[in-house]
Parts: sequence; structure tokens; C-alpha cells
Amino acid sequence: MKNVLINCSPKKNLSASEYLMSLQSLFLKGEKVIKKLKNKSDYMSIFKELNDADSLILYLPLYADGVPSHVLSF
Amino acid sequence: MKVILHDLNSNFSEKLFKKSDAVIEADGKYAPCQGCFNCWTKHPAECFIKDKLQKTCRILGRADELVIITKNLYGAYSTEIKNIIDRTIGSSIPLLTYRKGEVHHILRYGVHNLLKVLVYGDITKQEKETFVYMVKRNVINTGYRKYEINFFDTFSELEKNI
Repeated sequence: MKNVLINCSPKKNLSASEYLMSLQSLFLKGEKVIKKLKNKSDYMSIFKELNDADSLILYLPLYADGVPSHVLSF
Repeated sequence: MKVILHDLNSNFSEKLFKKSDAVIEADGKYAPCQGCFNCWTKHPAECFIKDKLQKTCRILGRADELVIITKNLYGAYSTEIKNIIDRTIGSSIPLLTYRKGEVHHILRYGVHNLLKVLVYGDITKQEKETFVYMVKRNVINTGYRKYEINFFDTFSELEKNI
């Protein structure tokens, strides 16, 4: 089973999304692929991984009661 | 002060400018929010990214009436509009208060009067419910007294109502 974990935080490091992702990945079985989604150049590498993935998990911050705009465009 | 925030093309900006005090055109030529919170701490109500949205939260903060014209995107604002809303959290301050029995940030420029949202494009029933719920939350969070939401299925219907 292949899990794709996507960290959608715009911060480079020390983000809460990254912390939650590292915490949850301890309890996930099977193959884990960790990706970062920050701008448009990251899209293609994520799409390639999604071709044969079984599950997709997004870790994202809440911006003004909604999804951040850079994740919304994805 | 009446402010219009729209994601239509630039031909509409002149038309809308006659009916309002300020028009903000969401053309997507700006960077998304980086989540640094410098607009709260280091330089209040000013973004560290030097582009056309650097001081937009001062305009949106002073608006009595805000009109948002947006395309429907899975029951949310379009990317360009959401980007502007993300970048304008400087219109509140980091300290907290109670508003309608909930904890929210204190508003830097005080309470506003009316938030009006005009949505165009195809929309399902479920997306409509999501949109109304999100606008209700935004109204409490950004401190508006009243709100209005209008849905238009086609672009020509919207043009008549502008």
C-alpha cells in the first residue's frame, strides 16, 4: 500500500503541518512518500506519485476559515 | 467607504470604480501568504512581500461595505480572491476577544457594516451550503454586522446585476 503525504505549509521548516505529518507517519503501514507543496513547480512531481497511490493525506494550515490559496489552486 | 473586490477582467474595473470608493482587481499577479505573521508583529498592517497587496489590508480594514465578486471553486472563493483574503489578515491584531460567544482576534479598524458576496459559475446544492457556511464564519471572524450572498448561474446574469 502506497501512502502519499503532502506537507502544504508555506514555511521552510518548523511548521505545525510538518510536526503533525511526522507524528502520523509513525502509525502508517506500507510505503510512505513525503512531498512538499509550496508553489506551482511542485505539482508535476506530486502528480507522478499519485498515479499508483492508494491514499493521499494533506497537512495544511487554516487561512481565514479556508484552504490556503496555494493549495486551492492545486 | 465602499470597496469592491473582484476577479473579473480589467474592463470591469473602470465600470465598478464609478460605483465605489476603491476597486481591487484580483488578477493573480502577486505572491501567496507565507504565514510569517510579520503583518501582526514587526510592521503592523503591512506585508513583507513588496507587491501590489503590500498595504491592501489597510483598504479592506477601513471598508464599511465590502463587495466580493468571485467565481465558484468547489464551494469556495476563487484562488485569486482567497489569496487577497489570506494576505489581509493584518486588518486584525494578534490579541483575542469574545465575539458572539466565540474567541476571535481584535479588529484593528473596528466593526464593519455589510459584506456582500456575488458568486458566478456552475454550483451544486452541496457547494452552495459550503459557501454560505464559509461566508457566515468569515462574517463573524472579520466583524461584519450583516451579510448578503447572491448566486448567479451564468456570467451574463451577473453582468446585469452589476
